[in-house]
Amino acid sequence: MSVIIVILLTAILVLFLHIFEGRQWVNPLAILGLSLSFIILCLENNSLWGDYSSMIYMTQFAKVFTGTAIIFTILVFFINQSRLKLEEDTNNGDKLGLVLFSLCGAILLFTFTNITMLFLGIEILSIPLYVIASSSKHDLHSNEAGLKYFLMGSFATSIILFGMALIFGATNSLDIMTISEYFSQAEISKMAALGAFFVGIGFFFKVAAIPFHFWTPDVYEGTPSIWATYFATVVKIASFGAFFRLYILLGNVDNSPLYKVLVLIIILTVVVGTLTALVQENAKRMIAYSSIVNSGFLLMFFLNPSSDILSYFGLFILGYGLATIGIFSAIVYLESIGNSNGFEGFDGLGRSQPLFSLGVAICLLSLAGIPLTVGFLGKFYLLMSLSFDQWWMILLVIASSIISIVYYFRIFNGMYFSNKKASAIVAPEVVSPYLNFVVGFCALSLIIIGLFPDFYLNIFQ
Amino acid sequence: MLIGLILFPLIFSLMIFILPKNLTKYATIFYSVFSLSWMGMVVKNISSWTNPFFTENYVFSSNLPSSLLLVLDGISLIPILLTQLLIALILWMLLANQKEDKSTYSLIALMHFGLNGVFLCADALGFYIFWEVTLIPIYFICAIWGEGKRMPITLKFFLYTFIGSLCMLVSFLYLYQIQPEGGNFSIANIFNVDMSATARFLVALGIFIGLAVKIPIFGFHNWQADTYTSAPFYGSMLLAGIMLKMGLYGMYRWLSPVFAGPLCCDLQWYIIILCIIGVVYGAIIAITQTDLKRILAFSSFSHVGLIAAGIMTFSHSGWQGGLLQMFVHGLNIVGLFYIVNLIEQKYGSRDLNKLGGIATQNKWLAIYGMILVLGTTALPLTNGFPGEFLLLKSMFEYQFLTALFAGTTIIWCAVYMLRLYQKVFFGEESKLVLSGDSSLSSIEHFILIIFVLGVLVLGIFPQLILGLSESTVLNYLTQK
Amino acid sequence: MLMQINHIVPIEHIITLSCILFCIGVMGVLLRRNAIIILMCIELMLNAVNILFATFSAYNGNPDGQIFVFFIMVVAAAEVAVGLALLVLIYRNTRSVDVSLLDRLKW
Repeated sequence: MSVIIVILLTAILVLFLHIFEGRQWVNPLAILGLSLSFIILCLENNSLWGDYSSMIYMTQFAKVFTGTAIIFTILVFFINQSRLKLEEDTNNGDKLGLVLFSLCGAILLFTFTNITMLFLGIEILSIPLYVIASSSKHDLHSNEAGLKYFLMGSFATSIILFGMALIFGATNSLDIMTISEYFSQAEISKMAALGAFFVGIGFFFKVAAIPFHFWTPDVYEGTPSIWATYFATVVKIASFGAFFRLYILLGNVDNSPLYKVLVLIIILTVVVGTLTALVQENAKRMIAYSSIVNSGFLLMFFLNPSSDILSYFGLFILGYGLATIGIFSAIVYLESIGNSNGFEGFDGLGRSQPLFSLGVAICLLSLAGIPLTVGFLGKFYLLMSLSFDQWWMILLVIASSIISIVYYFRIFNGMYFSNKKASAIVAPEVVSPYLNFVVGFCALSLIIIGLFPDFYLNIFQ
Repeated sequence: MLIGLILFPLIFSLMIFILPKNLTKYATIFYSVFSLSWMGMVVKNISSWTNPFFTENYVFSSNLPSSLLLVLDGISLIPILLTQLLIALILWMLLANQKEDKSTYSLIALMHFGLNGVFLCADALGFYIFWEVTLIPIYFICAIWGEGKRMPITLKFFLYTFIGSLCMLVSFLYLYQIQPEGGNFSIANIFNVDMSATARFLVALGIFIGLAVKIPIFGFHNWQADTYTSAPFYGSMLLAGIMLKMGLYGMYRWLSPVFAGPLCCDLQWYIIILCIIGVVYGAIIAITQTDLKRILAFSSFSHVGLIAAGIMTFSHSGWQGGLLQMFVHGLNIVGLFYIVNLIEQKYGSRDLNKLGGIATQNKWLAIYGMILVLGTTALPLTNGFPGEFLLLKSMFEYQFLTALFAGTTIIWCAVYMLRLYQKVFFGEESKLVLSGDSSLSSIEHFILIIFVLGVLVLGIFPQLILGLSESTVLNYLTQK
Repeated sequence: MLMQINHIVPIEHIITLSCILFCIGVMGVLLRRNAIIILMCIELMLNAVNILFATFSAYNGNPDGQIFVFFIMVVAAAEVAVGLALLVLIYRNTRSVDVSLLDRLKW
C-alpha cells in the first residue's frame, strides 16, 4: 500500500511547502509525487494477502483503476499549472492537498475488502471535494455548488450507511468475502435484500444516475472548471470502481434484489440524460449531462457481469475520462480568454488554434463513438456484452449514440464551421503549453489505444 | 501488397502537414501517380484469376474477435480500380484549380484510406470501421467548403448515414453473437450460421438500411440532392462517384450472403420495388430541375436505382451488369460534375435558365460534354450501354412488369440529359456566357480526354471490365 | 467477544426505532428549506445508523459493529465541520441559510 502512503506524504509536503515560501514549487511537487506513486504502483506486486488486517487487497483490477485515477489527477494538475501562469492563487497548496487526500479515498474504494474501508473511502473521497467545490470563495455559484454537493453527498452516504447496517445485521460480518458468500445463497433474508437495495440507491446518487442526478449539472457548472474536471473523471471512476466491485460481489445477478431497479434506472438515465443534454445551452452543463448518459452506459456493464467485463468496463471508463479531460481543458482555455461557457464560446477555435482544437475534436469524436477511437471500442464492447435478449438495451445505446451526435457536434461545428467572427478569432491568445500537452496526451492516447486496445486490455490479465 | 493501398493514403494525409507549402503540389502529383502505379502493380501481380486473387491478414489485437483481413477478388477489384482512378483525377482537378489548401488534400487522402479499406476489408468489424471513417472527411469537406445552408444539410447527411450504419453494426453483432464459442467477425464465419427466418429477415433488413442510406434507395434519399448541391464540386464527386459505390459494393459482399428463406424473398421483392420507384421518381424530378448539380444528383439517384435492382435479382447478368455500371457511372458522373464545375467557374452560374449557347463559344467543352451525356444516356457504343443492357436483361428475367418500368429509364434519361445539353450548350448565347472566359487550359483538356476515352473505350470493349469479375461472380452465384 | 446477555428489549423494537429515526431524517432533508435543519437531519440519519450498528453488534455478539460506530462518529464530526464552514461562507455572501434562495444554478 505504498501508493497511498506516497500520495499522503506528497499531500502533507504540499501543504507545508505552501506555508513556507515555495508556492511556485507546489504544483510541480504534486505532479512529481503523483508520478512517483505511479511508478511505485507499477513496481508493486499484487498482494496475495491483504494489508492492514486484510482490509485492503491490491488486485489487478484495483491496480489498473488506481493507475488510471493517478494519471487523470496528474492531467488535472497540468491544467491547473496553466492557470497559475495567469493568476496569483494564494490557496493553491490547500487545493492540491485536498485533491491529493481525496485521491487516497479513491484508491481505498478500488481496494477495499471490508465495509469499513468502503465507508472510509467514500468519505475521504468526498469531504475534501465539498471544500474544493466551493473553493472560489466569493463566487456564489461556487458556494452553491459546494453546499449542494455537500448536502447530496452526505445524504447519499447516510443511505449507504443504513444499507450497510442492515447487511451487517443480516450477515453478522463486515468482511466483504463473508458477505458475498452470504449473498450467493439461493435464499437471502429480507433484511439483507433491503440493505443491498439501500446501498445501491446510495451509489446511484454517487454515480449520478437519474433520478438521483440533480446535483451533477449544478456542481459541474458552479465548481471552478479545473476541479470540475476532477469531479467528472476521477470521482466518477472511483464511485464506479467501488460500485462495480460491490455489485459483482453481492450478485449473483439472478436473485440480486438490485437487478430490476438497475434496469429501470439505466433506462431512465440514458433516455432522460440524452434528451436533457440536447436542450442545454452551456457547454459545461452539456458535458455534465453527457457524463450522466455515460453513467447509464457504464451501468449497463453490470447487467451481464463476467470475467472479461472488468477490462471492457475499464476501457469504456478510460475513454470517457480522457475525452472529458480534453474537452474540459478547452473550456478552461476559453474561460481564461474570457469567452462564455455557452456553445458560442467555441466558435472559430478551429481557425485560431488549429492543433489544439484538432485534439479537442478527437476527444469529441471519441465521446460520440466514432471509430478509430477508444470511445468507439468502449461502445462496441458494451454492445458485445449485452445479449440480444436485452435488445431494448441495444436499441437504447444506438438511439442515444445517434442523438448524442447532435449535441457533441454543436461544439464541433462551432469550432470548425462557424461563420461568425468570434472573439477567439479576433484575439488569438496563445494556448498554454500545459493545456496543449494535456489535450495532445488525451487525443493521442485515445487514438493509439483505439487502434491497439491490447496495450490497455492486457494489463487486466 | 494490399496493405499498401490502405497505408499510403494514411501516411500521405499526415505527411502533407509537415511538408512546406510550395511542395504540396509536387507531393500531391507524386502521391496520385504513386497510388495509381501501386494499383497497377497489384493488378499485374495477379497470377490466377480464380477467387480470391489476394488475401492478407493482420492481427491488431488479441482481445478483439476481429482482424484486418484484406481480400481482393473480382468484386472488390472493380470499385478499387475506380477509386484509385477517380481519386487521382479529383486531385488533378484540384491542382488545375490552383487549390492550395493543405487540409483539402489531406482530407481527400483520408477519404482514400477509408474507401480502400471499405472495398478491401473482409472482416465485418473492420468494414464497419472503414465505413464510418469515410464519413468524417466528407463531413469536413462539405461543411468547410460547402455553400448555401451547408451546416444543417451536412448534419442531416451525417445523421442519416450514421443511423444507417449503426443498424448495420447491430446486424453484424447479432451474426457474431449467435456463432458458437470462438467465432469472429471474418466474412467466412459471420455468414456461416443458422438462424430462424425472422432473424434472417431482421439481420438482412439492418444491413440493407445501412447500405440503402448510402446508395441512396428511394425512401432513404432525403439527404442526397441537398448534400450534392451544397457540397463543393470535389465533395459531390466523392459522394456520387465513389461513396455511393460503397453501398452497391456492400450489397454484393455483405447483403447477398444473408438472403435466403421466404421472408427474405419478400424483402428482395420490396427492395426491387423501391429501386424501381427510385428510377422513375428520380428521373421525373430531374426533368423539372433547373440547377445543373441537382439534375445530376437526381439522375445519379435514378441510375443507381437500376443498378441496385439488378444486383438484387441475384442473377449472373444482373451482377455483371451492376459491376460494369458501377464503374461506368462513377466515371461519367464525375466527368459531368467536372464539366458543371468548369461551366460554373467560367460563366459564374449553373442555372439552366441563365446559360445557353456555350457550344459556339467553347466548342471543345461542348464536344466533351456531348460524349459524356451520350455515355450517360446509354447510347450503343458508349460505355453506358452494355451495363444498362445487362441490368435490364436481368430485370426481364426476374419479372416482366418491373422490367417494363425500369426500361423507361432509357427514355427518361434521354429526356433530361438532352434537355440539359440543349439548354446549356445550344441556343442563344446568354449574357453570362458572352462575358465569361471561354478557354480550356491544357490540364483541363487532359482530364476531360481521360473521361472521354473512358466513355469510348469501355463502350466498344466492355469486356475489359466484365472480364475482371467474371470468374468471381460465377463462383459467388454458384455458392449461393 | 462480548458476553452474550439476556436482552429484555426484543431486537425488532430497536430496529423499528432506528428506522423511524432514519425516516424522520430523510423527510427532514427532503422537505425542510433551512440548511441548518437539513444538516441536523443528516446527523439524525447517521445516528439512526449508529443505533442500528450498536444493536446488531450487541445482539449478535460481534464487536465489529461498535467499532464501525466510532468511525461513523469521527467522520460525521468532520462532515459537520465542513458543512458548517460552507454554511458560514454562504451566510456571508447572502445573509441567509435558506436553500431555496440558492437557485442561481437551475436544474
